[in-house]
Amino acid sequence: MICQRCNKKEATGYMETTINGIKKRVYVCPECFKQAQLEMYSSYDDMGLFSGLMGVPGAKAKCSKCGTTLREISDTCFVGCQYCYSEFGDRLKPLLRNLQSAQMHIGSGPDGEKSDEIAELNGRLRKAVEAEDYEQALKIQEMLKKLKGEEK
Amino acid sequence: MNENIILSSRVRLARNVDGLPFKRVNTSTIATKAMSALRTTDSYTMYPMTALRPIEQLRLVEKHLISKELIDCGGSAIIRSDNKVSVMIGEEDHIREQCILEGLNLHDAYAELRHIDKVLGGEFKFAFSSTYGYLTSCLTNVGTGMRASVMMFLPALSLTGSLNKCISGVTRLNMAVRGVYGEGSEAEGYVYQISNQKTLGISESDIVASVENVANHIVESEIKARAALMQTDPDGLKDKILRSYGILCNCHAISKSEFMKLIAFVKLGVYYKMLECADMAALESFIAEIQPASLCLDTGGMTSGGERDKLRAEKCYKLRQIITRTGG
Repeated sequence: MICQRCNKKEATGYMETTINGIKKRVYVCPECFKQAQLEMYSSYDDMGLFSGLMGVPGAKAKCSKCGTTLREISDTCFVGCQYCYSEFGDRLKPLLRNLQSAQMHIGSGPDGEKSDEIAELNGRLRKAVEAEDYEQALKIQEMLKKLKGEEK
Repeated sequence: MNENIILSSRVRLARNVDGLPFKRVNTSTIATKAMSALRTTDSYTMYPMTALRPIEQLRLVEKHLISKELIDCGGSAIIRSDNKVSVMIGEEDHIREQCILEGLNLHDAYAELRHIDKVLGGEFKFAFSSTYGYLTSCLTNVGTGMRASVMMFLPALSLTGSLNKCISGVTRLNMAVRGVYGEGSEAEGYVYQISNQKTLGISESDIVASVENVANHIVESEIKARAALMQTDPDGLKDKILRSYGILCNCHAISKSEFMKLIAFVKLGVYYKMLECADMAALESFIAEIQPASLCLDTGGMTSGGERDKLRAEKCYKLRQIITRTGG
């Protein structure tokens, strides 16, 4: 059998990986086995934490502004520039869910008082929904709409 | 009695300048601009890391004014003359603003920082998106960019073995616990830092409230543990406290780790009123003075470990002025 990593040499053994609960067996030659082990140990710390992204197509996608790849971000949690956030968009969301259990900012912003007010209302809205006080929630939603409308 | 348990409160905000990459960027212009903006509001001093000796850099770390990462990155620190506000330029993010206040005071620390943030926001356009909030280098800071933390002195929880239970409860609430003195998570002197982990999908005021809540809860547990400690073996505890005070006041050479252990018992003695301390803040700054870099700087340069231990013991003689033995 030919090695499934380099597709050149004879495979002498196999490696097993589990990604998202799915076991996969890859037959490899001794060189590729050694290389794979090296790669595994060098990124060992992050593997467990962010395995959600491993093997996902698009992990090699690069940010057009700074060249950071999605794989690098998922390995280190660091983006290269502010545009990584918009360039990778939805693909960052699983990572953020893992790290922050949230995907959306509700705090204040650089435009001062108005964003503070929005943040305050967002907080009240969440509490109202938690308390199942939907009447109050609707009122707050209306206030938010008004406030955000003025922003435009 | 919070002052004896919650030592200080700290809030920091992470900000980046719009349009610049996060890494490999020359931040000296940012530092100069930030300095000129801040200077109009109060008295600040700028410390470029490249202009400081390693020992001077470490002293700033020991005083909690800068992070070790700032030294590695070769950034600059802009520090207000009262040492309560410091702004780090060129750390993981372009700008990191922080405010430290005594005791449990996250509200005031945040109020103070909002003012600083407004001043710097007037000078720079910050990288911000309506979806993700303040855009930061690390995904663990995005959103508010805010980390609120309290430094807590938790000897009784540690000594009674309840701290691990407490930590696992706190981490379940999305908070992080780590040791303050010493490397990594080793908690020398039973001082721990509790901080929020979540920065996205939560407002600044909710972060402050949640950290304060957890801190208050831990204070209650620590008070209970202190009572239990006293009840189990009052004579043994009193002996341990008075011996610690005695050794500190009368030693000839003492290592940092022994000092930290003994001073913890002295602080406990103040809590139980076996020892008297008129000024707790003076005691905390005394502890900061005894840290290695601060000790070396006081004598004008690097000294060997053995020399430092003797110096430390010499300084400990001063402890009699801050703490006295009560009659009981």
